[in-house]
Amino acid sequence: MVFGQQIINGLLLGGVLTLVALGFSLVWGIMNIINLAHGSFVMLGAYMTFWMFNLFGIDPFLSIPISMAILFVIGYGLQIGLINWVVRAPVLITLLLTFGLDLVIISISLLLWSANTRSVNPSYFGKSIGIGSMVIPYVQLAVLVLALIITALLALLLSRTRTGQSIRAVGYDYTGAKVIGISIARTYALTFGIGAALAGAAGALLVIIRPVTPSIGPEYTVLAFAVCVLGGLGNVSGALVGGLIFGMVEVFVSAYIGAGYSEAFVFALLIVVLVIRSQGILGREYSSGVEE
Amino acid sequence: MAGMVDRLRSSGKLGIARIVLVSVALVSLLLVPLSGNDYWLRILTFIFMFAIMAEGWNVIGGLTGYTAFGQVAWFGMGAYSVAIGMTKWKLSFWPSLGLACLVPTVAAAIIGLGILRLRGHYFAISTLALGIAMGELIKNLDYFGGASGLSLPIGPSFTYFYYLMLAGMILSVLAVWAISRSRFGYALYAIRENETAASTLGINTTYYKTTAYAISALLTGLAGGIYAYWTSFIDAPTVFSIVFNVDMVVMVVLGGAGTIFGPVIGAFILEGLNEVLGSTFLELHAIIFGAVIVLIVLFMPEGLSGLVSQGRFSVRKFVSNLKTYKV
Amino acid sequence: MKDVVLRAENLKKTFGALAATNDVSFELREGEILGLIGPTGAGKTTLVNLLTGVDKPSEGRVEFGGKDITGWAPHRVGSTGLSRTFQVVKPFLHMSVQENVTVGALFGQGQRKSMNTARERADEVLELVELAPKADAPAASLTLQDRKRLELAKALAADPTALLLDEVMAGLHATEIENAISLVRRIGEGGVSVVVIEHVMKAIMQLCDRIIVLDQGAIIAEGEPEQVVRDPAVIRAYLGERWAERMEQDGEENRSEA
Repeated sequence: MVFGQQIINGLLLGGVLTLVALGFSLVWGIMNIINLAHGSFVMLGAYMTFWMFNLFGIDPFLSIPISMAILFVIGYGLQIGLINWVVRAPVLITLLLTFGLDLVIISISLLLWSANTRSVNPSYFGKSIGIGSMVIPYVQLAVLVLALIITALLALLLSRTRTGQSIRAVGYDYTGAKVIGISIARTYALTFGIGAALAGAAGALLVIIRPVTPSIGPEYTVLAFAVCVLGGLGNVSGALVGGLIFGMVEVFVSAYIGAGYSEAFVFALLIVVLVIRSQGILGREYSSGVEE
Repeated sequence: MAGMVDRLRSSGKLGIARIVLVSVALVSLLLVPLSGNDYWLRILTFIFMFAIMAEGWNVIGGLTGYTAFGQVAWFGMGAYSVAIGMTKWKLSFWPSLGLACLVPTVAAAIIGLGILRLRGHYFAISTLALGIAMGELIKNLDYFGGASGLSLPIGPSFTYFYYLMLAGMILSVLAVWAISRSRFGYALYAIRENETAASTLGINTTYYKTTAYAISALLTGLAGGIYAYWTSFIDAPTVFSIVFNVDMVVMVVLGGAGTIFGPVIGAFILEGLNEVLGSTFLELHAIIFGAVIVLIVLFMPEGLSGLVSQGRFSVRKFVSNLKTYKV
Repeated sequence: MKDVVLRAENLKKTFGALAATNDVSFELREGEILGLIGPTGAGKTTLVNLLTGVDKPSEGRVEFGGKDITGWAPHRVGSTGLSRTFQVVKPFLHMSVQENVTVGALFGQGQRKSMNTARERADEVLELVELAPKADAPAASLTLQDRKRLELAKALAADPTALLLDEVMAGLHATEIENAISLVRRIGEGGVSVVVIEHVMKAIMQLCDRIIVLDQGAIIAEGEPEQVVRDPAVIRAYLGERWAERMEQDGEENRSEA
């Protein structure tokens, strides 16, 4: 049954998209920053997994924590060194800053690794479970499960740990958090670091199911934005819902309209959702029509 | 963006010094083709093109305060209008260029009615998505040449396009100048400053911001249309390039958003730099350019004129700019 | 009796289960200065929003100058001659004082098409509100008192038939309030019908021909100032039940003593 297979494929992709969106949503929700380099963090995570596999033979799944750790350090450093300086500037400024970063990351990656398409293929990749006529590759299933586990871990981190609580406190009430002695600069850096680490994990999982190039970033940034908008900003379950929906949309558009159209379709859908939501079907939170 | 209008006012008053300066610049630009140096002609033509786009962005982003990030949608539409007009419909260049202005204007007016309801990040990213989606769509349609692009008839000389782009740039500066001192312009400033207050004062905000968006699309489409005939080959990845998109925004920020000549100055500096970097450090070009954007944003978020303190250029402003938005 | 300029009929606005405005009807007559008072959270600003199209009423009608303007977009209301100020002032910060006011002159009921006549009108209004010396200053540089004046000037430049002033005196100190009172009086004398929303009772008492009291979204009293402030329902709304009882008792005692 082809239709059932598409649903499964959509779910599998949706898991990764959730993870892509999760870090983006966190950074946006807490600091009100749209990180245009987020997609390129995903790309970096993918390349780390690729190189660890190719150079040292590290299994792609085992490389995930390493990719996450490296991305965390990069993210933390960028926030402390750059983004904290403009974090309270108008929207345009932070957008331009992260775009500049994105350009630097992409071009360095192109220089180092060329524009060639890369993918990882360990020996066990072909195996799959069959349910009736439907096929679920083990690897993809593992990717979905891992994506869900990491999502759950983030939810736990935010709700159960001191760090998580201070992150939420800063996002909820900047001044209040400052008054009770939370270091804003450090908490922001932690938040951005965690966002980058999540992107790293997403990249590692992405390269397992899809080939990558250094320039995939912007596409995933906009996808992350789309997922956040659809699912609602700043909560983990929202990213999950949005991720799964866009996973489905992408798979179905590729299958029934044509692979090349999926991106155009997803973005057009994003714009439509934004415009409709802003009119108040689900509340008017996206257009601050009247501030009072 | 503080002091936008203060600067606008000062640059709106055409003092003698300014008139002389602009006239000298204009005359020298008119004379450049006499040198017969094709290399400089090409670079300047590019600069004029970006200046047109930057002025276009200035109308919606600088005057109206809507940070559009997908202006390549209009650039690409303009380029493809000329390409389709000349190759598929066998029109001559001028009617095709008319299409290049008309099609983006109409499209922006229609799309603008929807997306101009959004603000801030939401507006920025939906326009970004618009630019990407448009490029992806064109790339997939065989009628538009698909992934392999479209070849146009070979155009007249470099000099011809040089003057054409220069005329486009002058037109766009005049457009912004005229808007900035008109009733229409005041509606745009009011929308930028506070949309709710603007509407209760009797300003039909939807009408004015949509018109501003359409004008910005017109100018951007014009640049795209001339570009297509000039290079005589276009494909979707080039004319819908995200980098173009942000280039014009950075130029306006550098030169001063909402000012009349700022975008042109920004285009000269940034595109000039781009050319120097591109020819000197071919490989590192994009890296340095990205870094330049980061530095501009960090040290002069209000552009060059933000560095001027009490009428004098001040190095100290670099440092104080840096501290403005820090946590 | 003078003509009715602005009429609200059974206006109702609910946010979820909460009724912010509940069945409010009133009339503003030509040349009148009408006071609108009520404790914080009584729904005064919501009412102004409903009248000016910033919020759409759930039920009821708004009539202005004989036209049904219910549900009109704010800009249509604004250019028809019903202008307002905002409690939280909304100056166009990066524009000069004169430019701020010019916007009002260009797009309000006056609809001046030429920049020059609009600037002239702006200068007149700036003279009236005593901001003329600061015409070229950026709005961002103004003090609170001047920002309140600017807010008023923007609305006035639109040549309104009626003007809704949402707490233009809040946050001002005594002498500034005196200035503001005489300013509003001058505006009224100029033929503009005015609704004054204010917590500053002194201003209300001095200025208003008539007062409406709003509590929890509904009108609880209406009439001449002297009579309204003695109304037990009003005292109860402002000071709570116990005070009202005590005042009533005092009143009875006074009467029996007399």
